[in-house]
Amino acid sequence: MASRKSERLINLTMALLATRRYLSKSEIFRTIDGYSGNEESKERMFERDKDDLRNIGIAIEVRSQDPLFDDEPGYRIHPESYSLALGDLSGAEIAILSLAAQAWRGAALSESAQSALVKLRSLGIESDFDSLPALSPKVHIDSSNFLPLAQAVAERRIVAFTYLSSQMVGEERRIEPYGLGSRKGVWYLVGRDLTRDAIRTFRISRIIGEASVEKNRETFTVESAFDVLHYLDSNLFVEKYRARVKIRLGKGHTLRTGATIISSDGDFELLEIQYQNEAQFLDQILWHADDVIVESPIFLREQVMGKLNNLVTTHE
Amino acid sequence: MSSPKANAGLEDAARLLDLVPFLISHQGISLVDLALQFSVTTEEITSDLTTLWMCGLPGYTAYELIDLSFESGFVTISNAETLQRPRNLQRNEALALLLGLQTLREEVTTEDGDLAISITQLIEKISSTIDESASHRFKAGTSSSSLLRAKISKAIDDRELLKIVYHSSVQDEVGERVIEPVDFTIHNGMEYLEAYCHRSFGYRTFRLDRIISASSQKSIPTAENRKQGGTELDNENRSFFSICISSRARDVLERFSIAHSDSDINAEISAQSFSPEWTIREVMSFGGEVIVSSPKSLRSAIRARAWRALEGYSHQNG
Repeated sequence: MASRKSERLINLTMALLATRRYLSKSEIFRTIDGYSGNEESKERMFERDKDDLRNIGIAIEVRSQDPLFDDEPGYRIHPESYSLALGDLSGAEIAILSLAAQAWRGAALSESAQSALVKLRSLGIESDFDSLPALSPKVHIDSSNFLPLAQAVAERRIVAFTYLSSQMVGEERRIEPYGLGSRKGVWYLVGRDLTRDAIRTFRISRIIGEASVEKNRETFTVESAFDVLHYLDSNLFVEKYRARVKIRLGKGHTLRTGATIISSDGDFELLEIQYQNEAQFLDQILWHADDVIVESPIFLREQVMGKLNNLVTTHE
Repeated sequence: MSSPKANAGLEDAARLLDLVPFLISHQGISLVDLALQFSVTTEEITSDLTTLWMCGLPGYTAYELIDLSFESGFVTISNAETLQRPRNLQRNEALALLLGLQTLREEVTTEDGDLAISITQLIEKISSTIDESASHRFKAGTSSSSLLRAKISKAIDDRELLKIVYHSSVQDEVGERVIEPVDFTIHNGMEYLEAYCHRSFGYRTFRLDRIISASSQKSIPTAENRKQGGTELDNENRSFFSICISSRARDVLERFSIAHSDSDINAEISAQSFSPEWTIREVMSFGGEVIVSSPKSLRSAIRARAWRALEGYSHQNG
């Protein structure tokens, strides 16, 4: 059954690709193998086949046959729209694309990456890996919701999901998705939260259960200059604050990255550090325990002392 | 995105269409290799070829049908020029290439300017097959260097030793060690390397973004050159403890790798770690919002450490 159907789909594709003029429905039913039964069932079959081909990315063009008698439409598939349109690719470019596809080993889009690779290999261009350095990129996706979210972003469809709040409560969200981006191994969805009417960022690993893409294609516009990583960097990862911190020699390696040494005094060095998030920075300072002493800002210094006191009293 | 079963016939048709250009550019390929390329069994690929053999252009005589031969176990094709060009990329295929290219682009070093330009051009090309803003709406950043991963992968394949410079987070120390890399794993979105460590005589897990550099090493260092590592991550040294959470429950659970679902955040929660030092530092970073209820030894270690840190502040004033 399945093979009869795929046979008919192949035959239809081949006939509509090979023809230079538009074929009428009656011509299709008469000449293409696989259409049988009464007129009505052939019609139904053809309509379903057209939808099926569209679902695998093959667009059938419809046009009126004769400008004077537009009763019978004609059909064909444009070879240009059917085939891979990446222009001329060099062997080195094929090698780069292969590396990009290999980055998905075991991750969400590995099947799609493999089938893309097969198409590229079908161009018959020898890939030239010699021109590339040894690279082995890897895409990490930490959520099974990546595919539905990607679909929602690509098709500009509203997506709904339950999101785990910082107080461990599942909150229902409806979002106009703008983009998907990753930083430091974590994937984020950025979009307009329809209940709050504001742009919000979501860690996709905090979505509980399955995200559902709404069927209706409600149109919403995304600012043309929108860039998801730029948004994340300027909202989540911007270094707004400066602190002066004493760090024990040979310690505090994560704090030292990007910091400037101001002076050194015995076992400790004084460094100036830029940071992006007060709460996270406070965590980080506390993590280093007695290897780090905050000098300024004063309120940070007082917060650290307060928290340390808190640790002493809660573990008495 | 309906169920794959309902679309079985359609998926087959898509594969058949993709088979033709692949076969035309790979005349004489074996059935086994062909099945591998299309991620199906040899039975499925044989059944595909049998179906394809019945397809062709209207007329459907020997002149119009696709001509295939594969009885020998090697496949040749002719009379299939209509389907000669590979099909356009599907959205998910383009998306896979796009995100892969972006990952690659972030990992290419600045001295390789030409390669960076080629990748950027390909990103634009692939992105335009989705829509004009795709490369801005989908963007993969990276967490660790692919040059490093390539070097380690090669060492795993060739069963070679590596000398790495590693920042041990638990100890907050940077040191050299000779390892035999085994495999990459991913945990909480972070990539780790599992390896036999010749400094601590056991299997250890290293976070990839904390490996500062790796170079090949000819031989295992002699005993006197080995520095003894102190309390390191040790898979056999798992210890259990209990905590109470007063706020920021989600962050606490994520940090201690406790599943969101199977915990009552108002009750005492049991957790485990491979290193007491790690536990102390993680608890401290929450500044009293996480309280260790047992064991007692851990409670007093935390109190002592917090006390010592506080002393740093009083010294300064006086």
